[in-house]
Amino acid sequence: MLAELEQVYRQHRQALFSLALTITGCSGLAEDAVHDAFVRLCGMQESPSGRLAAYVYAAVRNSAVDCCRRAKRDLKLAEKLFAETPDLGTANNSPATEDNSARLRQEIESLDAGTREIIVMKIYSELTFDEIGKVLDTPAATVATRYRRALLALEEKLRRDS
Amino acid sequence: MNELERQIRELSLRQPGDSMDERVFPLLRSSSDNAPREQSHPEHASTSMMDSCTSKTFLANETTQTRRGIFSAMFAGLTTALLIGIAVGNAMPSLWSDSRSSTAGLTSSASADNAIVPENEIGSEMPTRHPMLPDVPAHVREALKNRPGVGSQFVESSYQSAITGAAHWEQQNGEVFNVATHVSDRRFDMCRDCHRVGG
Repeated sequence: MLAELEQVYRQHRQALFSLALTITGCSGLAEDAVHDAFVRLCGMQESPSGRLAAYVYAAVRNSAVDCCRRAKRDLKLAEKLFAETPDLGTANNSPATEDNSARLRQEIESLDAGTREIIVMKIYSELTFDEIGKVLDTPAATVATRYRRALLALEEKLRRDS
Repeated sequence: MNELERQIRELSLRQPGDSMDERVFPLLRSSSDNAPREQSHPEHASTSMMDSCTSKTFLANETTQTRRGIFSAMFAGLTTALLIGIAVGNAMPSLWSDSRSSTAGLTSSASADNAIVPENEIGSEMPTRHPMLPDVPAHVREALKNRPGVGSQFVESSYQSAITGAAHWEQQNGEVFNVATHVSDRRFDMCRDCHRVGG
């Protein structure tokens, strides 16, 4: 169980942190949420049914919601989801492409937290809609619809800006 | 995956700090159950690994929990004191009546050797009144005997019964104590000063 959890953590640590950051808006709280989730997961006696990674995402999300709820009075959701450094695919690209990436980052960060969660879990974690639906306690069809609408909205905004 | 998804995927997400790995990996590598609990202690979280907002969160939580604990302890203490008071208050009358009856039994059993008891009661199997009580008119005694709860209205001293209080009142005032207007009547509290003198 611990070996499997470690494998999931190594593979998904970035996306788990991003999911928690999407909810908490604070990198410190996001790290706390991931840590707290793994504290609970390490104390589990039995392996969960289904894919372990999806279960870990659900645990991290719940932990992030708890952290956010506890810190509600002091917290200002201000930290960004994306890094300020050049992106992976645009490091050697033209300024126009970098500008496009910056706009895309900005548009994603302006989305509501729920939609950002879906994008993180779908694109960076490669979870299925069914698994995302279980994490969010939402029907998979609803998740898919929100995801497609978000992509369409992003495309529309980028096209309008350009 | 379409073009937009590919573009999003190529965006660089904010990296978690090394502190997250330093906190999670020991959890995953330790098989004991105690290690994770130690790691999750707020003191650990308030080290340099934590940023300012996290520290504030923990401080706020600690303060809230401390206040909540103090209020809970105060409430529990007051409730316990109240319950103990109610229990003692309920138990005292019965204990007192038991002790009085046992004292009366001892007195009556030792009456042959004791000169306190009047002579007219010596030899009777069941004394009709307390041997240490002064003489009381029959109508008052009868009225009070059937109403055991009125004693507390007569005198504050637990040593005096209603009959004693009524007798003293009559002796002091030279009047006949009217049971109908005083017994079980809260207005009788006004006469307590007299009964204290009598007691």
